[in-house]
Amino acid sequence: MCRIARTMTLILVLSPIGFAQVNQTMLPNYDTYTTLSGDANNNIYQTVVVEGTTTGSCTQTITVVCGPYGQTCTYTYTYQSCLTATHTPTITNKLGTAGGTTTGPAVSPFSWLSYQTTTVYHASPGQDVPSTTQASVVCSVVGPIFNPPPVPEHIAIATVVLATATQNPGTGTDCYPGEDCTNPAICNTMSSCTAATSPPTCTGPKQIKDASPVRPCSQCDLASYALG
Amino acid sequence: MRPLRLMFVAVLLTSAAFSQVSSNNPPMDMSRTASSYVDGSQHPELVPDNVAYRLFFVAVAQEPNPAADKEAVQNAQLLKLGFSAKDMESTKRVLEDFKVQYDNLVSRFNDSSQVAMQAGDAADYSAFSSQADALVAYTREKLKQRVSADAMHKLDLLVQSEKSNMKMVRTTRAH
Repeated sequence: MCRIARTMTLILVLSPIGFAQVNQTMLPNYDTYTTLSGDANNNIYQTVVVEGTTTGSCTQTITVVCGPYGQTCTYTYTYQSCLTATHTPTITNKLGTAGGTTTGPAVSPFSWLSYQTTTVYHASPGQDVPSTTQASVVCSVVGPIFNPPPVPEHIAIATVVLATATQNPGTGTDCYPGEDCTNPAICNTMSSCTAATSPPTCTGPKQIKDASPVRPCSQCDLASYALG
Repeated sequence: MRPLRLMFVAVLLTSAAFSQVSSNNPPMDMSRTASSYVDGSQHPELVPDNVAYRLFFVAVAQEPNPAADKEAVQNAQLLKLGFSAKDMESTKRVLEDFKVQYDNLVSRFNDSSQVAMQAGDAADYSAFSSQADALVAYTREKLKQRVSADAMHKLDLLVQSEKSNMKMVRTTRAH
């Protein structure tokens, strides 16, 4: 019996990988999203979101073969520093001279973390506005666990010439020259065509370029939106 | 008894050698994990719709009666969609519901994860993830009912294009 036990001890020390199975690790899963938008007053809004969690537990379970007939033994170990560890989000959200780096609330390691900041910058059309964004999550025990590289960009407001169009309230469609629109409504303005994406994002209706023929409100003429 | 003690010591050594971490640190052992980093600016097609819509909703949704500065941000974010005033208002209401339910979901998960951690167990992340995905799907469905088909099409176009501004890290245990 003594001899078998000594042999087993030697095997376990020399060949741990073949016999031991650890069934727990810390698995970081995080997302980040940066979005730009603008309004009719030449304000640029830059929002950065970071979300996610780490899965796992503070307890490590190790299973080893511990008997001559393949019997297994399971041992558990609790990492005390893990129980008091925190995960902290940090966002860099710079737009021109506005914004900076901010730190969100620290949460326990396995909590769902959700943090976002928005930076607002008032720009002139055509002005070159440098932007830097980055989101990271730092563990108080092991350091950064989510740390994608910063994203430097340059933003400019597109200059456009806009006019109103008329809309047939009965059909909701635009009135073309010569069309008889009774009781027409004026198209709403669409600020996204005047602001802050590079190149301009013109996904919406309700404004048209002052050109002939009049385009439907639902169309956006990208060619007419020159930067600067 | 002595052989048994030796075995126990051996097991501890085995554990230390295998885990490759200091005894007081959590098991952040990446050697047996597979980590994938998706940069949406390079591969937007690798950002799943449920992740993209969740991030978009989280960025845009506001609580009912938001402060003026938050409302200004939301208005600018929604203007990109080019919705009609009616669709815009409907979208705001649906996103209010999303925010309330999402915050509750996160709060419940965080409470349960705290309890699980203290008990030495793992939090039920897969359940949370499923519920979050279900809430995103429900919100999309509700939007579909409340706004025009044209608006839904524009929303999808925008979210798909916004994938290029998303990044994600997924880590799984390697087998």
